[in-house]
Amino acid sequence: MASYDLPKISNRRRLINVITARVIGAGGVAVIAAIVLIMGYLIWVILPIFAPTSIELLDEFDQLPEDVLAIGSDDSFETVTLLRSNGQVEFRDPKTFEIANQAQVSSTPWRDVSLVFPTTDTYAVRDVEDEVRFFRVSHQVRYIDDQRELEQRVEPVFLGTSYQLPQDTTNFDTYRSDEDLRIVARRSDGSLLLVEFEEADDDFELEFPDENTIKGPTGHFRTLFGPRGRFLYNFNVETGEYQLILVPSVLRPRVVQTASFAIDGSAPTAIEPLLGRHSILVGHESGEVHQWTLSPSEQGSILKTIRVMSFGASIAILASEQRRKGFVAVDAQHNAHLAYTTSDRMLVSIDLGAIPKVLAFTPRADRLVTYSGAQIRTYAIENEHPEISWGSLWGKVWYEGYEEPVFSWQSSSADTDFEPKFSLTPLLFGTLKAAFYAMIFAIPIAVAGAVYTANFMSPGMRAWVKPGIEIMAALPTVILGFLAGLWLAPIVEDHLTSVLLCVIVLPLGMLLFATLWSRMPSKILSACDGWSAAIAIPVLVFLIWLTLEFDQPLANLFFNGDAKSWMYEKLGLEYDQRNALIIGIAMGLAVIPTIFSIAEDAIYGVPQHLVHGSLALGATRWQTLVRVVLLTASPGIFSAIMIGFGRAVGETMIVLMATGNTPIMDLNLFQGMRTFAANIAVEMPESEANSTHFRILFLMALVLFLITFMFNTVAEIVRNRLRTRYGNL
Amino acid sequence: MIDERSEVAYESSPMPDVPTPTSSIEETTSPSAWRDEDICLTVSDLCLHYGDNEALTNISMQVARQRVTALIGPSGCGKSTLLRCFNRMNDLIDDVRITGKIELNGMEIHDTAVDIAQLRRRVGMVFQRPNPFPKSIYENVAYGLRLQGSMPKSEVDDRVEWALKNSALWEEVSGRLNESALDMSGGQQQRLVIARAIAIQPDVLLLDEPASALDPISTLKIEELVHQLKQDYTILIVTHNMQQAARVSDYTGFLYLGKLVEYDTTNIIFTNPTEKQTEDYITGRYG
Repeated sequence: MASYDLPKISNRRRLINVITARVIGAGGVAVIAAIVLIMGYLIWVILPIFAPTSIELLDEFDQLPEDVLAIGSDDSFETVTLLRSNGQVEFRDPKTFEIANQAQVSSTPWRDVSLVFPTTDTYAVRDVEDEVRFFRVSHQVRYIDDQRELEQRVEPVFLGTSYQLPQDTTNFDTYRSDEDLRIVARRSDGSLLLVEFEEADDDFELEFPDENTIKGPTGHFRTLFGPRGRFLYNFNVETGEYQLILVPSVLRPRVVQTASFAIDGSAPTAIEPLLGRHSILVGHESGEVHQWTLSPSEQGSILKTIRVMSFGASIAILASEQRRKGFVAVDAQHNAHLAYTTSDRMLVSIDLGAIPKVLAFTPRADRLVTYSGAQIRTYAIENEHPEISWGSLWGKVWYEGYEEPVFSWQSSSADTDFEPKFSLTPLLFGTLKAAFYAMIFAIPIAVAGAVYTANFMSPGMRAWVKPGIEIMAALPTVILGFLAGLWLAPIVEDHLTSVLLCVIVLPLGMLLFATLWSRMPSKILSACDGWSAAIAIPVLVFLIWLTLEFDQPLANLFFNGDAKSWMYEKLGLEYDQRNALIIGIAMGLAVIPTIFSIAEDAIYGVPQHLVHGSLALGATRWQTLVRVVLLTASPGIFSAIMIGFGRAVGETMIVLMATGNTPIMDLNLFQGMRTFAANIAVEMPESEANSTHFRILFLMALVLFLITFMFNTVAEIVRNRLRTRYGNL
Repeated sequence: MIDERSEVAYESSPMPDVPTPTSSIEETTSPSAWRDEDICLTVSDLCLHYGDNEALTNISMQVARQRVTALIGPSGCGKSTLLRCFNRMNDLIDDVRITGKIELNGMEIHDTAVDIAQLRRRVGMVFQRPNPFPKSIYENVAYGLRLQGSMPKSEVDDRVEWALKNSALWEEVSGRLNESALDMSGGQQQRLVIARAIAIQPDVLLLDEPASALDPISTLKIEELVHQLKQDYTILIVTHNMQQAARVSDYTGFLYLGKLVEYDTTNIIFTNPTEKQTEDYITGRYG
């Protein structure tokens, strides 16, 4: 018996095998790693949103002046500014509280000092002779021989000119806009003196005031300017009664609301406006803080409670942040509670040891300075993203200036005192709405087209049609978006009646044509077998032309001449030029190739022996199609639709260019929307790195990622179940 | 038409016989001696072209009612093509031209007035590879019934049971009618598609190499089944396997290069063929 050796695998072959296995393995791992990295990076950027807030005592200093009226600080907390009643402004190093610099601004002692609303650097001081002066405190960084030097300065404004208030002024407030300066002084008889300097300029003297005095209630009142200086809050700090006065000009003030902050007869214990003064925070003995905001009503804007936060013990003093809608409430047991209004969050508490006389945030709200007569304490705060809570991201929030709680996305504004609205719900709604209408447009066309192409079309025509439609997928969506927004949208708006009627006319017209066609002599029919779709094209074009041509008569017939106004009057539907209909068509066109291609493959791949088996049992082509072919291809058709949906959800350029990007929640076909993807594209470039807004955009990206991930997973599970039931496709 | 017939049949008897008269011919009667009522299918001068290729040339033959007729011949001889002529499955192929006549019970099947679907209900077909639909066993058998319009659930149940019993499958699957047909073995699947074909009670059953993809035991079961089914159906079977043709058929036609070389009782074809080509094939000289 002949013996022989089986040939051994050659080293070269072995090497190739190993290398191939490694390369393929590495590729697979790299794909997974890339996805994990993207997820990881998104989460890494998002996590700080949910970091807990902390506050801790930084330093404590004694033997400081006892006559401090107000405390300020620069942005980076390198200087603390103390304004003393002896007319001195002291700049101290917050680490040691040594005097770094000081200025004697006035030789006359001061009675009170306040920041001119809404500036953050200009102070108005009233001296004991009731003269009001203005000066600005500035902190400038200079580099002298590469040495960083901080220079604090006090500069007089309006060339140091003053305005003489009445001798019996009890308190006053000032408002400064680009054009004018307003002063309100409350006199002991309860009357209010309103003063306006028009076109007041820093480098000119104050002159030619408009003055007006109105009567007011007597008592222990405090008077503050409201938003844009157009409102006056005049409230009794002992009883809580208040007047809301509208001041379009100082000569024509008008009381719009007289009411009380008191609840169940119990007077407020602390009252403080929030940043921008759209809201007033009112603390009560019960430990509750009520947020009152200017809310539109039939009589115009009036104050209304929109939020109640509870802190346990009676509120002694309140202070608000300088750049956000946060505040600190100190209760009678000298616990300070940091809280945030928009997100309705109680963040953190700390015992201050005593109720401070003056309580001030630094501009970035990362330090809190308390002054309780000779003693100053500084606290460090870690509180980057208090605006966000589960409720404010997904739920309805009652924002300042709103009539009721709403879902709203409005991340930025020209105002610095603006309350950002970070609700993801309208954007999620917009995303799903856009995808929904796109799918309504795409699924019937793509699936029916796939059925026809796979089953009835002649191979010659199919060889052109299939690659043709697949090439459509390569069409840059920016072009589709551009055409949809700038070309299609105006046409649809002008021919709305025709476009709506096309939904009925096209299918009916095609059916009619098909019926007539089937009556043609069988010779022509069999000659055109498989090419009849091509014959339908001119018919389709003709029908569209016909409907568009008769737009006006049709509109006269059905909609009293104008479809848009008819819909608005009869159905209450508003019409935006860039709307869900446009998106449905444009994004529908973008997803049709995807759905068509996958579905066609699935249908075409149904084994012929099943088709023949069905036909041999006496089934017609139609019965075979419905009962065997579509059933067998259902996993493939399902995944085609799911992949199309995933594409529609993530699509950016078309929705960016043709939706109008209005973040509204309305299923109306004729209104726009804003989607996650478009919103990220629009806002990411203008968002400040690591700000709350920035991180929320990343959160949005993660949500988008999870939505597509979820849909794909569900699709895969369903597809696998269908596949085991309906065979191997 | 089929609806009416089957309903009458259902009401009058437990599962039905095909309402055509029982054939009176002896199995040894040569085709030339058949009476008209014994003939189910008549083929005359049938030619079939695939494009320019002639696949069948001047075929003329008759098929006896309620007998098994086997078509044998080497690969490519046109036996499957001929079989597919009887239910016009060749219509599905592009570029096919057919001349000549095929009459089913005296009716020309190529007539333009003939509804192909109705024709196929009367001429059932079982293919070489089992092709159950991706549905449950029950739904597979009920498929042909459901095509004909709504039918009471109880009647569908009865017919499914009858068809499964007549295809010798009932005992194996009665407990799992709602399971997927794709989970069955190949032999079971082939009997299932036979059950599916007979559930609509065709006149003729075309079997295109029904056992060629099956193991010997399944093959045997199919052959037994064919034997039983000829009580009720006219059966045409294409097979490569000459022992099978000898075992199951009453008549055998030998095709070679698209021509019907010889057609006679199985006994004569296998023991005493007239043509030399037939003898060569039978004895394994080529094929």
